[in-house]
Amino acid sequence: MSAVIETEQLTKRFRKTTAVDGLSIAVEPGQVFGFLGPNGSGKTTTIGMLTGIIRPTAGSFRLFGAATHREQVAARRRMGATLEQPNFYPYLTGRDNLRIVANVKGCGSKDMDEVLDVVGLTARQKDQFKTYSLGMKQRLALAATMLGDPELIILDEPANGLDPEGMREIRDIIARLADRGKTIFLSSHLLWEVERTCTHVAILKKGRILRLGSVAEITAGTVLAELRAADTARLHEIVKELPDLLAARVEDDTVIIELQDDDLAPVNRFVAERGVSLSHLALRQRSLEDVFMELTTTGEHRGMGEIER
Amino acid sequence: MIAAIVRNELIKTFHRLAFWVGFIFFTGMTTIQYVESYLRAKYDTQRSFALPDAWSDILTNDIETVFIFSSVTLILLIGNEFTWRTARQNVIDGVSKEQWFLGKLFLIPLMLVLFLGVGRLLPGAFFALLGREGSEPLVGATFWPALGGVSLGLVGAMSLAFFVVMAIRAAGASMGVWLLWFAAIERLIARGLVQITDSLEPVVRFLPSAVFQSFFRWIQYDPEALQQAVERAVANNRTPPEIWDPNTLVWSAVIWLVVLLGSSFLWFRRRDL
Repeated sequence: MSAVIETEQLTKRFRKTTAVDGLSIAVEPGQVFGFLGPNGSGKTTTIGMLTGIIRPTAGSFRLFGAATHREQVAARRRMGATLEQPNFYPYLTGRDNLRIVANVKGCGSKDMDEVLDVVGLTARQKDQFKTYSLGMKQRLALAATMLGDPELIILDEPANGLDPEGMREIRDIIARLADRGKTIFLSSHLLWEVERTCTHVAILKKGRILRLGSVAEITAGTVLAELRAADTARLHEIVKELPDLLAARVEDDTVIIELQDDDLAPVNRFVAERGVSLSHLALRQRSLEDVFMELTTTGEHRGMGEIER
Repeated sequence: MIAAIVRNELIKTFHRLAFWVGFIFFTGMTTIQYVESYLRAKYDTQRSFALPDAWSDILTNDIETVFIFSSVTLILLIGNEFTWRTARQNVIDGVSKEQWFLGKLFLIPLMLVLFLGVGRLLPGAFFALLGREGSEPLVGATFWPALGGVSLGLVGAMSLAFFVVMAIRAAGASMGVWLLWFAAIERLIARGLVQITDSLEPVVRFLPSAVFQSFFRWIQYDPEALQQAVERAVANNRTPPEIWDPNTLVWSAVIWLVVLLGSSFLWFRRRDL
């Protein structure tokens, strides 16, 4: 089966700024694909190109195999997408806003009832969009993306600005969609959410892909350890001299180090010999957030094996 | 798909409070004006407000109110699509840019029918029918050319508004620029052209609002009214009014329509949303 989304050297330049730089990815049917990167890394611009609102400067992409402009317009009716914040007519009711989308996608009242029910907005469907809370707006956007039972759903920061309860609701809806076999392309800052939801991820920085693969592949490999001491800065300086160190960074009052193996005794000894007593030393499960931080907070395209010194 | 887009434009327009406020205010204002004309004619034998003669009043007298209200409403309906980012969402949902543009073009005839047809012609014709005496036909020979000409002039004025809002992509600023164009900018351009060289004077009358507003003069359609206007001007030592050759006027308007709407389309298609 061919890829649902396939980009080849996709590039977008805004005057002198290159927002997306030679992006090549393939999203296969049924994947929940996390598209990660710090602000300004090109996530929204990429989604903008895929959804037809931004013209690529170079490169190409296919949606459901469609490569021409006309084919892609038709292909877009097989997908549902929201970009950045929910964009609706503030003076229309939630239901009338959905009707606008339903008319384009050829859906009827029954479909609208269904998606409103899924996102829990049936009771507020006759209220104007401008009276909705942010969480309700996000849920209406999700309802709109679900109209017409699309095969591909593209969500750009769907949990932006939501409280924990709202985030949980959005995550549940995404999980339900994934369970129904939908291909989901999800951009988010919430890495632990992505790790729980996504099967595959691409990590971007400055428009270029730093890492691409399944979540398991990306988080596998080296070992992480957490160290704490009274003087975090001094501890950070010391661990940088560790012989087997791959990387080190500070998170709040904790120094995170990356090692080849899980033997922490030499680490403890090394630090103690330099006059620092550790108050905490523990192995840590490598998370997507760890990989993301390593890749995006240090130098350009730094590999996992390089040490930030 | 075109049917769906038209349906959507109707939903967006008829659910918009700002549209209804403008439309009801405009229709109320014109209706009051015609009630006044009807009552004056009824109680003052020197005056008349009856079909078919009243068509000159209905079609051309203070017609600027029609083009201002219809164009401002058009700007409001289109401009907010960009500020609310609903234009981009429509495209994301599967409307092509070309279809989106067509949907907005549909608003021009819609505004024409609503503001000229429903807001102006219907109440005008109703009160002019009430005052009617005799058995003359309801419309004279000048009615259809005048209706066509005024409609073309209004479509032209709206196409200029359309061009401005598609370029600026914000309702408030577009209204300002559009009104300034009619009130001052075109006059300044005309003055500037004439100051460069007198030989450019004939060009001035081909500027867009000069062309479109030429359709709003009843003497353009009625030779008898033109004759009377010329006689009055001669009697008062003023320059007699001139009218356009109808073919030149229509072609000038059509060329401006193609230029304004065509460049709006090309610009819209090229720019990111």
